Amino acid sequence: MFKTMLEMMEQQTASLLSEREDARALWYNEWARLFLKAYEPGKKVVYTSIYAFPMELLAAFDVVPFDFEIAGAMMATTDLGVPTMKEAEDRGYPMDICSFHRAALGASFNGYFPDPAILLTTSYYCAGKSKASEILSLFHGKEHFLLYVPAEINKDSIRYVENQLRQIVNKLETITGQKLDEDRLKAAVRSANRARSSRLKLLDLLKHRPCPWGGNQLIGFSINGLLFNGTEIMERLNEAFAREAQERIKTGKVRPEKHRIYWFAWLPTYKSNLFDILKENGVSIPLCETFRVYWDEIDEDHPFEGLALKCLKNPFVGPASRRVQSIDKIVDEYGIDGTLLFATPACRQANSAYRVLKDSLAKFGIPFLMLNMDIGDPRGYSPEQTKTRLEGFIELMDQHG
Amino acid sequence: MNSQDPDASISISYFCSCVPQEIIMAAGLAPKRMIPRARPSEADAYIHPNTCPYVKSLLASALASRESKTAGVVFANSCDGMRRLHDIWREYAKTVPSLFIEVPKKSDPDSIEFFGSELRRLADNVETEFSGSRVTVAGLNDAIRECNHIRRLMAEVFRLQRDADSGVSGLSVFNLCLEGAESGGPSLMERLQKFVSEPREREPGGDKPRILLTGNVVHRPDLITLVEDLGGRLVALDTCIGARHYETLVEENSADPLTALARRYLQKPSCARMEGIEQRFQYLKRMASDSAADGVIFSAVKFCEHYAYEASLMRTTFEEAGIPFLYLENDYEWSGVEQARTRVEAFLTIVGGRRSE
Repeated sequence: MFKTMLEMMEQQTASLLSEREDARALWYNEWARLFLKAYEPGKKVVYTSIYAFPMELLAAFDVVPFDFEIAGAMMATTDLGVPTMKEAEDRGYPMDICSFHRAALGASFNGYFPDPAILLTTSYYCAGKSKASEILSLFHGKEHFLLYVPAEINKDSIRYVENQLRQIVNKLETITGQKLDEDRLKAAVRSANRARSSRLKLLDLLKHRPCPWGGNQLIGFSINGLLFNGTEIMERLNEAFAREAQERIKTGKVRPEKHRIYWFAWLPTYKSNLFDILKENGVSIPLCETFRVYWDEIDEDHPFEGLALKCLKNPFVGPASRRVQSIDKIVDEYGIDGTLLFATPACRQANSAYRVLKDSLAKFGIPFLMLNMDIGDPRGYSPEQTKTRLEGFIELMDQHG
Repeated sequence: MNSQDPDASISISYFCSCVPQEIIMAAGLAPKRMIPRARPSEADAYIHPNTCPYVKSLLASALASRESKTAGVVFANSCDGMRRLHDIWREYAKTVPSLFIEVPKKSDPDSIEFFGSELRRLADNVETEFSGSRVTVAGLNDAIRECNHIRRLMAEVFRLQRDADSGVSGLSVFNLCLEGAESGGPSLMERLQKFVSEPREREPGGDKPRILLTGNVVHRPDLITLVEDLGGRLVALDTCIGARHYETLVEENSADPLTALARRYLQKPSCARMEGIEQRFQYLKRMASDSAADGVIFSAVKFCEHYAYEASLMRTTFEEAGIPFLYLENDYEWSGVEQARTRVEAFLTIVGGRRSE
């Protein structure tokens, strides 16, 4: 079922790419092709958190990364979403848990996803992901390893994460039968550093008014695009999006904008009127928190330490104040006049301290909207309520001028 | 000796079993688990409404300055809700100073070593931030012995609870657990000593359905009273303030007591925050077997992700073992206790029926 969906995605995007260059089609095509590889016989499939795990390590081995949560999110874009969630609910998984995870559990129980060789997960962004990973490890009878990343950065936490990364390498060596090729790891780190630079370039382009790219594509890419980190595909994708943005600026094919908002957290994957309303009202999203470059270049001669630091510096690891670090600079450089927190009910780590985010923005007179709306489950969705809340928010930005 | 009279000493609050009280005691301060009584909804203006109601009640309590007797609090990174509570606390409840410790969710040697380093930091900070005295190896070992003594006494309390004819009710054990959470020192030891040694008439309780209660923060007696009023007998209590809080002794007289503490706190039977679903279920099955439980009631506060994810597997585990299982979600205040009445009554009827078969 899911495989069929990926095949369709691959075919449709390949057909589009044969006609013209298109960054989004390229991204979807690579994504579908990689996930399809996970179904090929003999492939060593590693379940992981593609947006949080140091993917550079996986790029140094002959493994296929697969993220059950992202796959669950993909299910939720189709009519298969609710039935797979219900499959998990019928087995006693309450509706209070993340709808992506319910979809992923249901899809796994139905045998839609490829079998993992090992499950490597992270303690961040949320507790639910690692719990779901452990449940799936029991379901598949495969080993589960939790990369625990402490909230504070100090010499002990760096060493602790570094040691765990080395343990992960040992596990990857066991499942693949390959010894770690240090040159290959260095190459992956170099590639990730280049991708970091191209992301910075893209970030610079997003400062342009009107915004040449952004919105839901930016948010989605900022999370799922990291699947390719450590490979040349990541670099190619960043460059493709940058080329398109440059082209739009050059040709003036940029939608006029009235307001520019900064986006916190995720986006809904089912059909909703959220982004249409924003578009109709001239609201653009030039930046989201998940696209920020929070990490430094990694020293290829000390990859474990660099990757450990990258994990530790993730804004979703430490205190909520990290999420609004340098927000004054962002407001200024990106011309932000509003902020929106997409608050899916099960995502406590992202939502609980909303007040800290809201009050940090209030210091600059920036309106803040916490939009409560499920990320993957359309059953409680109300387009009218979303419209009312967004219109109120836009009016507030209008008043602020 | 580290014994602190909680009424006379400066009290330091903690919210989670992961926080080693021994360190607070070794600094000459009195650890006290905060059992908040404020309504969770009072915190809604500061924290997302979908957050665990225990976390919300803690915040509501702090915002209303109901914890003014507390000189400081020690947070543990036990869950996403608690981590975010600390973020909010630092901004909006600043009058009560706070410390934060990281607690790995696994107990392998690297995690123990790292947690040991966190505890070293805690020991230093308790001294500097909370005006405690210097934490020494001798002071820690005294505190460890004292806590171990309480753990041994509580083990005896739980043994009496399991004894069908001991005349010890589940409610009386729950009340002791509550007292143990909020106090410590000689008065608690004396109270426990008296409880375990006092002569009491043995009451035949053999026919009552024997219930194991597992879950997270059960701080109010409503459910226990309900079970016992409806003819059940609470024979084991696996909650944050119950048996698992006291299980596993800390190595005594260690040259490195902080590592000894790190080892015990990561390796003791845990709540669902820790990795190791299978090990936890094995522990619970053993507890059910040791207490000859006829049924298991699983009670978790709403929005506790760790437990919500495990509920389904826990049900399957017990049902496969032939032990009836009831999952009751609660809102920390137990405002739905009357709705629970019907379910508990029906559950006890099923359990009782099987028992008499």
